[in-house]
Amino acid sequence: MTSYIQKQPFAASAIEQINPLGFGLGLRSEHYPYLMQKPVTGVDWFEIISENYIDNYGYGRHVLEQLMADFPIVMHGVSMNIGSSSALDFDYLEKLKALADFVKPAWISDHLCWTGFAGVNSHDLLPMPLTEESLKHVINRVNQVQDFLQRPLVLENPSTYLEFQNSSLTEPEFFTQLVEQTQCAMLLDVNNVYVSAYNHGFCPRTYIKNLPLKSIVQMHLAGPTLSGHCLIDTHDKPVPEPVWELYQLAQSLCGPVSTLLEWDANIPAFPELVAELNKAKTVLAGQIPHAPVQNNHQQGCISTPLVLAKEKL
Amino acid sequence: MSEHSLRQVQHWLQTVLIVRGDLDDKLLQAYAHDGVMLDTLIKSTDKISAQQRVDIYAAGYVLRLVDCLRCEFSLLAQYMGDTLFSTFAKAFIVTVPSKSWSLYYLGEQFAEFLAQTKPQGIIDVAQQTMVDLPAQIALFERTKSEVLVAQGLEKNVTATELSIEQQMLTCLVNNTDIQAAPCLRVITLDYPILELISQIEACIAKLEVMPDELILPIQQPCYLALTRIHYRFRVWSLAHWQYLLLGFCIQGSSFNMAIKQTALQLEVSSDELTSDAMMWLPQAINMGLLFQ
Repeated sequence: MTSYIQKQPFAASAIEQINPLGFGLGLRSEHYPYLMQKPVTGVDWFEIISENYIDNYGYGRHVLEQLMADFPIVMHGVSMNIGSSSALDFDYLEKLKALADFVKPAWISDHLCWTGFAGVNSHDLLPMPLTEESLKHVINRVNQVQDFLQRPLVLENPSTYLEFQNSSLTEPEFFTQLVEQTQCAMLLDVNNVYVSAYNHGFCPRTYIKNLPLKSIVQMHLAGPTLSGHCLIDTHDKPVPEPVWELYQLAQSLCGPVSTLLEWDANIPAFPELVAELNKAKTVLAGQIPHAPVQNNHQQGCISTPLVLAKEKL
Repeated sequence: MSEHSLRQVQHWLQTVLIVRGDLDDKLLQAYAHDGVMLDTLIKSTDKISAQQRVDIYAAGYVLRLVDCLRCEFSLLAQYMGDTLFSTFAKAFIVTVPSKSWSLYYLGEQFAEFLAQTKPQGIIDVAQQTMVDLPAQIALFERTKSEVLVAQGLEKNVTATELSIEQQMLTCLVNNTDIQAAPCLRVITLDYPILELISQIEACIAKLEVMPDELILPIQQPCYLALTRIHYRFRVWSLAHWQYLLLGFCIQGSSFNMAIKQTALQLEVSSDELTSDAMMWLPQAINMGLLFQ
């Protein structure tokens, strides 16, 4: 494939300097009281939803500031809209950069998706047709974002429930070209691979093997829900056995990569989350937890719940 | 293979998500906009049709945003009950699609929407109160959300390190630098709702549904100050002149200027109001409304 834009040397060297952070959890407002009252153990680092702390000068920012003193922080966003046909939102990027100046995160990530078009925002992580047109478009925008932020961008594979007729690339092919052309990095959401593979009928192990493995700097774990004939990325269940198996494979291929457990609805107490996170360590030691994929027997299963951190004081 | 451009695909899918109606209506409207047929764009499998696949996104769009509104307006959801709240929330989302990347702005116009869509032509006072209150509660909760994320006084050295007594003394000697706390908001309501808010909060704390016999407020002007002290939310009832005075301070007037502006608006003597304001000033500082 032809090169769409000149590579950015600063990005390549920056990715090489990223060291594994260990085992982390998403910072959620439900855990603020616990985190501020007890010594925090069993977790190496925290990931924040960037949008929850932009323009937020309340208690959430205070908790974040306290944690920043003791833990590495990663900023994970849901609003960059990197795949949209609309122009990049530089007001958003300006605020993201300002937050990064405050947080000094280990890295900044978002999703390979689009969230809105022509001034409207769906607040969902919507899939892109995987075409040469999309690839060229995303390469151009990732380069713009990296130039603006002056750091490499880390992009996550989304969970998807539909495929476009005109897609001509697989997702691993898309990511491989994207990484090669922009020197961005990849956040491999192992649960998303499992969800998309189930929904679209591809082999998740082959998918992982075909990714640009050297560029994977982080992995996400989460629990999906089976709803009818579809797996939904609900982030509200324990990690099931098939996802642990894929995680084991991915870690064996990538070497030690920072691991993050996501849990965004029906959030358990902090110690329970740490216990679930600790299962990742047993997986790397060769033991796979026997947890089934859970069914949803009710209507209204929500994919990828976006977390609005409500201040509750 | 279809030749739809990225822009065309995105316009089509976004239309399907945000327009009013069931999925068939949405697909028809999207076709009318873009001339795109579902099956030319989305793959079907043996297990799940293209229509079912798109419906996951269309249904998820509404459910997700209703959840976000329920989170921000938890008192209102408790007061209205989940079914009624969801009905209004869905109508709001379809009528006023989100224009911001931030979910913080999603509920910005919800109180106004509730006020504009409440049933008209009600004669009975009790019924009128019932239909008026949702917009009032929503305005209270929206303002509270703003207070909780605004810049506060927590990092203000004067406001945090000097004792309240020291601050009061300083203010009485020199009140030229008195300012509104940046997290201060003042609102005026048609009902004094604080007692109702307490009843709703008690129900939420006990995981109970709202009782049939709620003590509802009687319509009368209500002036509230919402603020934050050491990250704790605080709400205070105000006299009319206090509401006006704080409002002018929020707009940037000095304390002395705000007294004059308030006196002018109320058509009272500036000297008389100055006396009341100076008496109230230490208390206003203690309440996290003003600081020096």
